[in-house]
Amino acid sequence: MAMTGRPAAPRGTGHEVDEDRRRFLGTAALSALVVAPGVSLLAFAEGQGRKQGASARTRWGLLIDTTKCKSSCTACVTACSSYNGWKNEGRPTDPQWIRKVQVTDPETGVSRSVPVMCQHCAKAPCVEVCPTGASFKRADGIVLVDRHICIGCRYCMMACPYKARSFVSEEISGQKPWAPRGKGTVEGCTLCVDRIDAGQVPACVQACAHEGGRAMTFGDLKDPASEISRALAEFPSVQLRADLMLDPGVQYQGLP
Amino acid sequence: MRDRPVILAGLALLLLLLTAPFWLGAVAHTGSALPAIPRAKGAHCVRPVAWMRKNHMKLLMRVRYEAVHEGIRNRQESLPGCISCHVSRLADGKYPSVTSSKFFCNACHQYVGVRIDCFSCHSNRPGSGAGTVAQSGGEARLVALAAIGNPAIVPPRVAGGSSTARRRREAPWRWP
Ligand code: SF4
Ligand code: SF4
Repeated sequence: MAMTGRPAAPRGTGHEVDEDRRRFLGTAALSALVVAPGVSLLAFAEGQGRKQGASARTRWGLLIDTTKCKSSCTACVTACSSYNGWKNEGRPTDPQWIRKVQVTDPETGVSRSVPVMCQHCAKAPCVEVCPTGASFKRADGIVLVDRHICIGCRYCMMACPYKARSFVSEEISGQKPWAPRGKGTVEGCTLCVDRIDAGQVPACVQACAHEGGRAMTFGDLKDPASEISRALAEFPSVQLRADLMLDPGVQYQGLP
Repeated sequence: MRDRPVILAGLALLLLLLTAPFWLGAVAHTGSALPAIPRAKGAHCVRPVAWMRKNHMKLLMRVRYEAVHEGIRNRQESLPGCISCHVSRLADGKYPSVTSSKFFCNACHQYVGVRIDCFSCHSNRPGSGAGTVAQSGGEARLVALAAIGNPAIVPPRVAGGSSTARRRREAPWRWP
């Protein structure tokens, strides 16, 4: 059997249900019209209107200008932690969807503080090694863990050269409705996929722009007119460990 | 043939014993309380109630696949959407514990002895739906971001008409 990396699609119901639903929708729409035209119709349209999903015409990426990133600033880490509901208390197994790393050139002594998160590799080794298909890449390049399928084997953690993933080893509570996470599964930066699907920028990018040094640019790498593409074309940038040829979607400028 | 009444009585007793589980069940059933299902907040469910009773898990499986793998999110048809309508504060102002029978899902699941583990990962409290920004100003801040020269996000473009219709045709399973 060919490994497609996609889980079996869930089974649904037959034609008769479609008919049923159509009838129901008709009735519901009619009653909405009768009862409260403006409000109900709006709410109804929101409920039924399917948003378009992730498209392969887009590749989301991040550009981090390390010359603007101070080592004292942790705005991106704090924003990610509070938005996605994870806490790092300094224990070695604590989650770290994003972390600040200090890199220094031993020759010149030039030092930069660098935010590192999942690099959303185009050729992601975490996806390659995952035995269940839980690690996968969305059409728009975002690499995710489908926790419904993850068995917690942690192969992906070993395969990732950026230490981007962590394992939830304890029961947790108080998760955010938009960021489910729980014991026995592996997790990492999602590029705030729920916000992207809602047309917003990732929490770290937003925090960096407001409380940090405006070091992060987020956008579509496949759109030559996007700000990130223009910035990439204008100044030289590097991918971390480019020698591994994983083609990360996160790129850096101003590294020593 | 003097034993005939004894034999018949024995057979009748045997029959009664063999069918005992059925009779006992019938008696027990009339006596037991049906699950008390907490009322939802909304005017109507996203599907007919009778259909939902039987098929809610199919709908959940489909929206889960669409949201996680395809990025198609519908605020009402999602687990957080169900929770925000079906979970309310109790009389004491607190939300029901996720293990109590007052928690919407448990009302039936405990009655029929089905254990779900959705809420070991998912939030069991109503909150703003996926994609909303609770901590910061949401849309207003996105506008502010655009103003300071950060990229506003253009929704992904899909060529030619309704991609939903195409997906529906190509979907390997039927759509509830
Ligand atoms: S950075 Fe690590 S977790 Fe992220 S896509 Fe690459 S290999 Fe996978
Ligand atoms: S821990 Fe989960 S996501 Fe990682 S390789 Fe194993 S099954 Fe896949």
